[in-house]
Amino acid sequence: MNTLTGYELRKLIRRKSTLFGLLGILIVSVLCTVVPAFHEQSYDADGKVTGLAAIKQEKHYARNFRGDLTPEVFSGTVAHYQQILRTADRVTDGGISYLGNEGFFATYPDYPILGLLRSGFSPTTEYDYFVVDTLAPEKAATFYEQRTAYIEGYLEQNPEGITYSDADKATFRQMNERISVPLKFDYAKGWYIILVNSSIFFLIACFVLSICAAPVFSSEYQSGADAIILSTRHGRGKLIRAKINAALLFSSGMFLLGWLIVLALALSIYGASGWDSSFQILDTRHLFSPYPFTVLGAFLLTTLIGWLACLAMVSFTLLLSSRMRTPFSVMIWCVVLLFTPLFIPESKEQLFNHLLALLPGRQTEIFETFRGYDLLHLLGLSVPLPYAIGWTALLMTVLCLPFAWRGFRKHEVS
Amino acid sequence: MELTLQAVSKRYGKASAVDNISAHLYPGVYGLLGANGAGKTTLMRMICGVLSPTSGHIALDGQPIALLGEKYRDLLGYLPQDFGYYPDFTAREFMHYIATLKGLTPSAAKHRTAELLERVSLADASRKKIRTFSGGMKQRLGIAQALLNDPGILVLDEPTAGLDPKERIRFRNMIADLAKNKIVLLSTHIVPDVEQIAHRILMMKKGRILMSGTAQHLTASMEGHVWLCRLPEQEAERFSHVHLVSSLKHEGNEAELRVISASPAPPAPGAVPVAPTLEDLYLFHFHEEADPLVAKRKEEEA
Repeated sequence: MNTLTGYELRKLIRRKSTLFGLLGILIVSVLCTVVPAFHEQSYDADGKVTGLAAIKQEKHYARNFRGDLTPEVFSGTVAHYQQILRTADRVTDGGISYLGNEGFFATYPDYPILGLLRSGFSPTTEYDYFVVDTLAPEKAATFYEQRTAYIEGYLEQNPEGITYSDADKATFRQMNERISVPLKFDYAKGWYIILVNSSIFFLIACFVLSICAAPVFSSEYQSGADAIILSTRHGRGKLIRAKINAALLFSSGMFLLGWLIVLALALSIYGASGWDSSFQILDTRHLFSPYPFTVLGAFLLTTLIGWLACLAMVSFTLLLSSRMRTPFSVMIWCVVLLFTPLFIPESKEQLFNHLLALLPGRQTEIFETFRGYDLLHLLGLSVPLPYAIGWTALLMTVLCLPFAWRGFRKHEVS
Repeated sequence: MELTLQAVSKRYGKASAVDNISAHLYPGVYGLLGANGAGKTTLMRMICGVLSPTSGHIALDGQPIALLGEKYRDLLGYLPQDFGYYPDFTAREFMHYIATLKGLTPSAAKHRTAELLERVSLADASRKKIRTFSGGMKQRLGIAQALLNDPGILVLDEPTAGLDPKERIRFRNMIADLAKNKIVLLSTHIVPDVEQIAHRILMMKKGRILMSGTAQHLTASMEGHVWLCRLPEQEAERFSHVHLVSSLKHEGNEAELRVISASPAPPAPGAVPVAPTLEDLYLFHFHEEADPLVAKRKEEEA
């Protein structure tokens, strides 16, 4: 890092907005990780347990299934569940018969696997809670075949009315084929909490970093320092590079710091187990995800794309900052750009929805895109939506920075 | 070294801030005189390359400054009017920062910073944050930063604003020391500052150079137009409404008036001609802009 970049970093760090921004990121980090821990709930033989005790209990139950989810695990779990079902008391509510408390508590330890089975064997358009009540253990052993059939059904007769081309179907089939079977299971709630809260964290990070980067160029115009610095030898060259480098370094540092706080808090509360599990076991909603990575892989990819989304927003802020007279006007435009796409409703048009997902603000919702079967077709390429978001963010960064450079270089003091 | 301004103009819409100015500047001290809005700051900004002329060009030794770019800026020291600073930087940090921007090595930056802060009497405050500085201290810091790279072309916009009389004298001496082999261009409202240190004075009005020359040359044009007269106190007041009075001193029941008159005839019986100063010249040309009521009053009287 050269001396000028050091000075520009010092300017950024010493601003009050940085302190408030850091505080904001810290608050969001705590809200995303510590608060959900208090709402955790589980059940043991005596009934409901909450908070840290629930996390401990869930870890204990998950330990029974740690490792590969072989067909035997599925058939055994169904057999065990149905055995309890046959002997346990039942209660009827609204014409529907449920297990009584005692039976429910006895079957609860099997819930992680029962949940996967319920998702896997339900019809494509609905979630049938009772499907495991009548599922034959031999049938449960065909869980992976059922998952493949479910995906085939989704691709061929999409319930949302989406029509996939043969090439698209082939792409998704290939992606699914790369998923290691049997799926690997472990307690991964810590990673789930991080990933599920990644959208809000990235959104707040984009907002905070935009506020912090808004004065990089415009404050020089506002304070009148532009006249001095632009008349110096490096004022229209190395200084601009230093300002851009400092803004990107500062943003990356703040992003990493906040994200590490989220990681440290979540993993210290929930534990780091499950990092090498299959991404599909993270949550029943992700069972049919076509992305063949582990939980850690999903975390790293989410981090990378989230970081790129933040850099894209910072680059756009720098572009505005180089062309606007006051940091405040830059901030206003950044807020509009970041938050407006969140209020645009999705349509039935897939292309519109895909383009919407590429806009700042929406770029932060990466984790949600890992569930979907969305390909963006561009220049003859079919790019899965999460990767398209990453590439778009990178492209935004690469396109905005030269214009920011030019804006300051061509600035005239008035 | 020759800095050439050739038909330089700057227009904002229909208004001309600088109108077709041509000049050749060689090493020496040039004083820019003019009322507010005369175009001094705009002209200085264009010379420093932070504002582009609408037409015309500025060249150093025949090379357009826009093409010289970094090479030209390397020769430049600029103190803008109302310059911006970084309130959270100490004076030393600010100087090091500007020194880095001017391409000084870290050791040279350290050495020049210490030397210049000492020279502008800020050595004791070098570790204090600029936010704690008085207006005069900030102005001295501004002067020091302009000198960091030992510039060949030094442009100072209102450098003595905010300085106390002692500091002004010290500044004038400093500029006189520095002026050797440098083009120094300074603007000020304080006429004696220019009168004492400028080798050549450029008087600007409404974006144009009204006249230029040495202080003696310019004041010579006022010979026979400046008078000293003594009048009874009551008559002095009436007299000052009709004539341009550059100074008025009460002595008992009488007042001594220094009168600037466009006509070669004595403005009052017993008035004696006196040697004109640059201040008389300034007032003669800019009194209407300095006090708009004067123009109105004259119109009413006519």
